[in-house]
Amino acid sequence: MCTDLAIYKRFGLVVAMVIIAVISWAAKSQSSADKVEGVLKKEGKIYLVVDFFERVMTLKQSGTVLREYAFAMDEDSAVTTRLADDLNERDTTGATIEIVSLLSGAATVPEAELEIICEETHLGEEQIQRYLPTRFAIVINDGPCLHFETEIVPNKKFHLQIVNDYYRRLMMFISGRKTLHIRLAPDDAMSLYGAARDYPKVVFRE
Amino acid sequence: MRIVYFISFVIIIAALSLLGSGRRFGVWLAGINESWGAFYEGGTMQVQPAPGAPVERQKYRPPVGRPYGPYIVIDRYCNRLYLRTADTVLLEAVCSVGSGGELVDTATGRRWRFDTPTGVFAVHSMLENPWWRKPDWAFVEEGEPIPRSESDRLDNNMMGDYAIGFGDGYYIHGTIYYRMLGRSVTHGCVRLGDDDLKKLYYRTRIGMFIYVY
Repeated sequence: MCTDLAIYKRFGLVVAMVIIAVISWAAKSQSSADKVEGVLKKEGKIYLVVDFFERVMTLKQSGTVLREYAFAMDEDSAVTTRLADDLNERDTTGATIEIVSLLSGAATVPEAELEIICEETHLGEEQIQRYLPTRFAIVINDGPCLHFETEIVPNKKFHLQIVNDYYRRLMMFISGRKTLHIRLAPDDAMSLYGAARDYPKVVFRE
Repeated sequence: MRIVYFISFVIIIAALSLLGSGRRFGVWLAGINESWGAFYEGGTMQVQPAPGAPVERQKYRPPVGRPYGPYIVIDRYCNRLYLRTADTVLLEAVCSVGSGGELVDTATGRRWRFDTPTGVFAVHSMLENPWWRKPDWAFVEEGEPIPRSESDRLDNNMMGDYAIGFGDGYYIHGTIYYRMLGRSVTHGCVRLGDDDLKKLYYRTRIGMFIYVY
């Protein structure tokens, strides 16, 4: 009887040790992205999660999903995995947006309607007219340039800015910055461009 | 003697409300106003229920934690309102948010800024058939003199069939300017079309989280 009890005790001890080992392994294996997101959740501010594997970006606040943006990109997954790991290891409180730049846009209010709306609302044209960002760039501080495109044809007003676009691309090439080309739906582009201008922190997942 | 004190208290509160001092007393006074059926004094919009109309309200409490059920998200850049859960969009509606414009009364120097506030809020009042009590800026904007009579300020048509309050005088309500939906043209409130507003109203509960970004 006494021997049985000792066996049970030893068995129990072994089981407990296995459980502890599994828990500690699980804790260690928590991805760097999870850790970064954990920090951002507590801050209570809006942040952006870029998931290269699922091809979706999620705007969140305190862990609550505000909006999801499905996207397409041709980048090799090995590159994005390395990029995500590097950025999350380096920026443990989330990557910082350095520049948000509108490269080309399409007017959302027709010229003929604009005047009438301005008269009715007592607002200026610049307040009413919004440009759908057909191409824009989000540059991560000391990280990649996310170059967004939609299928909408840009407005003539923005043609001159294409020169600016090439210049930026050249500068990024010179500085060795990685550029990821991402395709978005027009509505999503509008929303993401607006949200990005508040410079939220960014978490990369792979 | 007690009656005299009570009447004095009522008169003081009513006077403060009429003088536009409700803001200083915050939500406490707004709650009293509503329970008496008087106008709601808010930061931007002043709304009151129509006589006999149902009103749901609670003392305003800032939202804490995370929503467990559906919640409302307002995207100011796209002028879209979503009723959603973590993984499902239950309602997507085109809305109109604040213009961000400024109004200056050249006669008095008073200034107003028409922004929809960003952050996390909670639904704290729900009104059917709301009446709008036009604030001073509504007259200044139209170049009209500010009326002395309260009745000249009331408008029972402008706000649609329902109003959902989310604090400090900001509401989700209806509109008569359907053509403006999808554009940032309001004075800070969020306008919705009739059908979407009705769907949202009957799925909304007091205390529901509202995220505005």
